[in-house]
Amino acid sequence: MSNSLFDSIGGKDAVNAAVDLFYRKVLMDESISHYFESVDMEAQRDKQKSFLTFAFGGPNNYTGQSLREAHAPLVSKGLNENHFTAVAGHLQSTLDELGVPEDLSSQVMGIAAGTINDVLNR
Amino acid sequence: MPNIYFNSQKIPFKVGQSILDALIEFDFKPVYSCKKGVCQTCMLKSDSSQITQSQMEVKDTLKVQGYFLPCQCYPDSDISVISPCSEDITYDMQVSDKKLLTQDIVQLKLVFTSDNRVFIRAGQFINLKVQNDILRSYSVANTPEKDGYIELHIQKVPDGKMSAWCFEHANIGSALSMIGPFGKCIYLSDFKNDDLVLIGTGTGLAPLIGIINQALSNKHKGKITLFHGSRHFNGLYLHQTLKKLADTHENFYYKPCLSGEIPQTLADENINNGRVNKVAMMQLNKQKGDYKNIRFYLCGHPEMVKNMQKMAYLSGAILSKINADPFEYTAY
Ligand SMILES: Cc1cc2nc3c(=O)[nH]c(=O)nc-3n(C[C@H](O)[C@H](O)[C@H](O)COP(=O)(O)OP(=O)(O)OC[C@H]3O[C@@H](n4cnc5c(N)ncnc54)[C@H](O)[C@@H]3O)c2cc1C
Ligand code: HEM
Ligand code: FES
Repeated sequence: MSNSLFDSIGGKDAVNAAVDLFYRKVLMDESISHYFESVDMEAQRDKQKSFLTFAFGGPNNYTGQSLREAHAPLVSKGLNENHFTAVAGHLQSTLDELGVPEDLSSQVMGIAAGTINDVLNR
Repeated sequence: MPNIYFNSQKIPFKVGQSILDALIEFDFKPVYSCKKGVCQTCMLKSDSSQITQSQMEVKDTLKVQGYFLPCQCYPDSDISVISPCSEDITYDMQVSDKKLLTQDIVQLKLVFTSDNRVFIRAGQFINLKVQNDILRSYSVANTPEKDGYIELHIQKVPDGKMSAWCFEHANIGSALSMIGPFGKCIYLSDFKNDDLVLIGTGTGLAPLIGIINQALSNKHKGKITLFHGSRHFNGLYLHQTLKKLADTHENFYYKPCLSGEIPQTLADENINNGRVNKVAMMQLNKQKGDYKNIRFYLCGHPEMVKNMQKMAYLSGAILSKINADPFEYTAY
């Protein structure tokens, strides 16, 4: 993954700016919020930071296999394509709210879209 | 099938099963209480790398010794685990005072029976152990360093093992042991200027009153607002004390809430009608305060705590300023 996308978006600072926006959006979306609720909300929020870092093309250790493992418990609770689309939508609107230019945000959305088979364990 | 070696005894387990559930299934009678990674009563020890995920809630001093929570540990290959060495972490105590606060809530005071150097803060919780295999979490309602004893408020639970012990068997001088303290629901003097909002149901008031008294004796500058909820008036078990406290401290506000009907006889008591989290959200929204600047303490009923945590966050509160202690339990 090229680090230049990550740097152009604004690196770690961009992730920090995005994480609360994004986490609040998924928690407010009744169709997916149950996947993201937890006693330890800070730990959940940190996982969403990993998600954003990955999608922004930043440094991370995730492989297709580890994305599969991370989402396997969710798939067994019924995670499907509609949920995936909803999360992608919240990612898009987070990027829009932060004023990320179209050419960069479309690259981010491309990275996210490319994970669909791993995330849904297909 | 992979195996758990528990104190060297071999137990086959299914991948996807927690270590605790495997020990229960094979009738090893492990000690546990909540199965949700909160109470820490199930703690075991291991040097396997498969425990890392189940150490997130364990405090650092125990983590380095290999302690982990088997209810949160889902290994996928062979793993050796052992019971905790009790000398590491257990302290002998005895009951020094017992008082019924209501018919269903008992106050116990505990003292150490030998010299010790455990530092316990108001709002943390300790795990009490009696009869060798009953271990349950209770929150600290006072500042033990100052008072020389630990004060607990214990709610009677139908068919509850530990609460029955506290109500029926505990007497002045009764011996028991404790593990801990645990938990991050505490007050620090750095918080002096913060506005504090404390929300509790039932004996969820115990850690909150500990924190409030500590804040007030620290001459807290910000506003302190306590919402205490119960179904019946009886459950507002410190009503008179808290009213007095509010009369004598201009920055302390007490908001009693009843989810059941409020009888006519209480018309003068300024009691809010409704569930405590709903009442709190309504009043906070009305004050148009900035959630970013509020420090929250949420204790008691797990659903209330989780709902309030989420609503506060969605309204703009900062997660690191939300201290939550859900009183989790599991069915036996
Ligand atoms: C961090 C933490 C702090 C806690 N602090 C306090 C405290 O300060 N004061 C206090 O009174 N309790 C507190 N608790 C709860 C306490 O640890 C026990 O769960 C509770 O006292 C019941 O224990 P028991 O042995 O009497 O009942 P158990 O033998 O564990 O349970 C008997 C049955 O009752 C059910 N049950 C247990 N609890 C409840 C409940 N609340 N409502 C409905 N059904 C229930 C169980 O599912 C079980 O079927 C805390 C829990 C945690 C995790
Ligand atoms: C759009 C593509 C997605 C990517 C690239 C992605 C990526 C990630 C990453 C990197 C993590 C952290 C894993 C870890 O460190 O354990 C994670 C965790 C998580 N993801 Fe996703 N994710 C995607 C879609 C989804 C969807 C559609 C959902 C549910 C609606 C979801 C729900 C979660 C949850 C709940 C966690 C935390 C799991 C836990 O508690 O262990 N993700 N995701
Ligand atoms: S933390 Fe494992 S049983 Fe409560």
